[in-house]
Amino acid sequence: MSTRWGIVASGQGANRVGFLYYAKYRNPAIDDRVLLLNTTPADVKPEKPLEKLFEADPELREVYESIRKRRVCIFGRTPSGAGNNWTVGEREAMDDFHTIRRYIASLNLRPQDVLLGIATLGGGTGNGSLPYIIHRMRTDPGVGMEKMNNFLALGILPYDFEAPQRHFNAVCGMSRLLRYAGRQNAALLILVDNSQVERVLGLGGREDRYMRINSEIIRCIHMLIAPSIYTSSATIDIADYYQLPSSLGITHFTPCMSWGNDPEVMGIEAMLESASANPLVPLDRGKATMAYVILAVPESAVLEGTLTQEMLEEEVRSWAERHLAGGGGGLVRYASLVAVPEKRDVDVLILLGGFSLRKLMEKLGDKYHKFRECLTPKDGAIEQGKVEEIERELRRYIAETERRIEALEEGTAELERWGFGDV
Amino acid sequence: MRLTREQVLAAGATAGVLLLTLGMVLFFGVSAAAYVAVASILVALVGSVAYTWWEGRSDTSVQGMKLGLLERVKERIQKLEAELKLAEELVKTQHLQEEVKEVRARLIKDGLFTVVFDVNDRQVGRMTLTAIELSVRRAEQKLRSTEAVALAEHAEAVEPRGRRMLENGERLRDAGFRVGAELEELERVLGITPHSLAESLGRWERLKDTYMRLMEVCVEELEYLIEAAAAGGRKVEPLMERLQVLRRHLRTPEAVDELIALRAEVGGMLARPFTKLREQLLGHLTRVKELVRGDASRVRELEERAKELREPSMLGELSSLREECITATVELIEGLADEVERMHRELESFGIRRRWRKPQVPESARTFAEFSRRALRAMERLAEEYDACYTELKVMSSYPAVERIIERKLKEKGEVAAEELGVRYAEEFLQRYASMNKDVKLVRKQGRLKVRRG
Repeated sequence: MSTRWGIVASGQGANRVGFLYYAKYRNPAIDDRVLLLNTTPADVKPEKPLEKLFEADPELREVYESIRKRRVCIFGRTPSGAGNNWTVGEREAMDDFHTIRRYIASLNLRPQDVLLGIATLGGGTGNGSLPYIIHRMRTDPGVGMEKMNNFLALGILPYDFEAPQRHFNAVCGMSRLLRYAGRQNAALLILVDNSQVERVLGLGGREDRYMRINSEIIRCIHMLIAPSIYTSSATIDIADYYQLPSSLGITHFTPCMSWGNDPEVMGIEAMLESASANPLVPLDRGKATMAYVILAVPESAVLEGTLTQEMLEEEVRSWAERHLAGGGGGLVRYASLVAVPEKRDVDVLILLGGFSLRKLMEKLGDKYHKFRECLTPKDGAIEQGKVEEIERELRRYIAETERRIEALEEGTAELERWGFGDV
Repeated sequence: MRLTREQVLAAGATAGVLLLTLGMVLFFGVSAAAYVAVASILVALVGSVAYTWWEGRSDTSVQGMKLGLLERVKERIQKLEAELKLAEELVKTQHLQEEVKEVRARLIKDGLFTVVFDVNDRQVGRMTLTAIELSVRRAEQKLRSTEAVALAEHAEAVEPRGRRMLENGERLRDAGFRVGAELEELERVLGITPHSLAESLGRWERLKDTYMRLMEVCVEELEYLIEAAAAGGRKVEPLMERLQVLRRHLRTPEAVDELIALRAEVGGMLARPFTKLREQLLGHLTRVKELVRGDASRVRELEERAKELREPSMLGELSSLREECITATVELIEGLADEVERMHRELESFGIRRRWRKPQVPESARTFAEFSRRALRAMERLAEEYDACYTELKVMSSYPAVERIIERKLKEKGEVAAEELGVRYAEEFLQRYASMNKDVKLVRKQGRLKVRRG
């Protein structure tokens, strides 16, 4: 394969996802290029975020010990850590960036490779550090990674029931991953909401729900990478994921997934319907502008001709006309049929992009403002100016997103565009 | 006058001794010469004895050579006489035997053999080796030419007989007898060119043996077929009697025709039971192939083998195939029953219990037709249950995903048609949804689910 992937998982929550990926769900495209980042208090017991995993599966502790030295990066100078304050997390990353850079360099990524940053947006360490890390790597020639463009981010939103400061953190983190210092930051931001995942999987109250949610996130990453590992008639290169969205200035996406479909029972249309019914963030149906559709199917079905790229493209077109804004099939659309040896069922990933953030802001906004209003000017830990800038950027981004959706929904007459007057 | 070797040796020895003595006298004196004289006498004596011994040995070798020559020519004469006797089976050899007798007589007349044709030792001892060699050579030349004539005539006589054996073998093969190996052997032996009378005689013996073997193979095959016909309830005693008579007259020209005629008669007896069984087997296997759920390779293999058995004489093989078919069918039925039970257990995990009773596996029957009827009935019931379970399992496994699609479509439009779902077994999915949700009704005629009003 030509493109390799590396994962940087910053913060406790992301550490769990990143470590699970390394320990249980190895992918040849990622291999052992998984880095776990955390701040200083974790130095005493860096494996603390992973204790629950070790309880469930003691063998994982051995795996952790084997990677501790080269894949666990403790950064920062403050002994107390981020304390759920993203500005502290950001500052820790700024102050100790050379440590972080050293560890990232050890992943040996080339310009054509991909770095996927994972952070739980409700916390302070990952949420604070990751946007800064991506920004530095993209823009600072001194870092030596400016030739690399493929910085993607996976942001995990807090549960509905979590405290307001976590929702506040999430909005700030999301905004900064989208735009940082006045420019686009992550080439692609994939958003996943913990509560939504729980609803989709029907996990409510289960003991192992965190593990299940993390596994679901990992499956999403697998599917994202699948076209570059297995045989596919129309591969989706990494540049395909973000270049057009970047040029449109709309880079937020969410996965919609459907696993284990029986190809004998479910037609492609039904599989797409099933997947699109399960977006991993709350959103309004019919308000998305972009879609990447990946179907991982049995190799035998492709060889027999019962499932073809042409069939998929036709069904995706039809589905997009019904489900993407404007009824015209959306702004950007890719479809890839991936043939997997020895597979017996079909997995579907629809990466839905450019969707209206209205429902998401409904979930986050109330608690965000509750906390925001408690901030005082003398609260130096979180600068007002910075918060205002974040809100400004986010509003601008939301406005642009809504404008794109509206434009598609209204649909100017084609001939008018070319100046043919009233038609 | 030519001097003999002995004379030359004696003259030379004498001259040598005289010269030596003269030399000794001149150089060493008379006393030394006296020693030489005594020594010379001793040497002469010893030398004579040694020479005489050596001469005796040579004489023995020459005698041995003479006797060897004569024994050899005697063997050749006796061998040729024996071969000519054997060749009389096919050709007249009297004149050739006379020629051999003449050779004998000439050798006796030459004094080399006695009248009873033993080697005449004393006479031979007096004759030179050369003379004996001349005589023997003459005799051998004559024997060679006699043998050449005998070979030519014998080989010529074997040819048409061998060809006839081959033709008979081909007729028997064409009539259906399995004599391919023996025919090949006949052809091979007939293709050999003999280079001596002995080889020609050997070739003829091999041809006869192979031909007899071929005929016996045909007889054995006929016995088997007659027994098979008897097992089918036909009256076969007359046929058997004819076969026993034929067995004693296999060498007669009429044997081949009789073999062919007997085969045709017994084949006629077997034709009907053969055809009937073959049709039953093929019909049964065709239906089993339709009913099998899973790997049908064993059934296809049995079917191919049944198709290849076309001759009534293959009734035995067909009967064996019938037994294999019965075993395979029973195994398939049991396998299918196990699979259906497994599917029932899987359905129970979805809370679905199906009522059914496992059909009996027919283990014995009076006839194949009866077995086939019972087995196919059991397989039909099992296949039907299998298909029903298969569909139900497919529906249950995919129901959660399809249920969400149905719910969404009902929410959007208040109704959903089977073809809108984009799934197989759409009607079954709608039925299940309707059974689990009392707020909708299934309009079967339209294949549509509708939200109940009010």
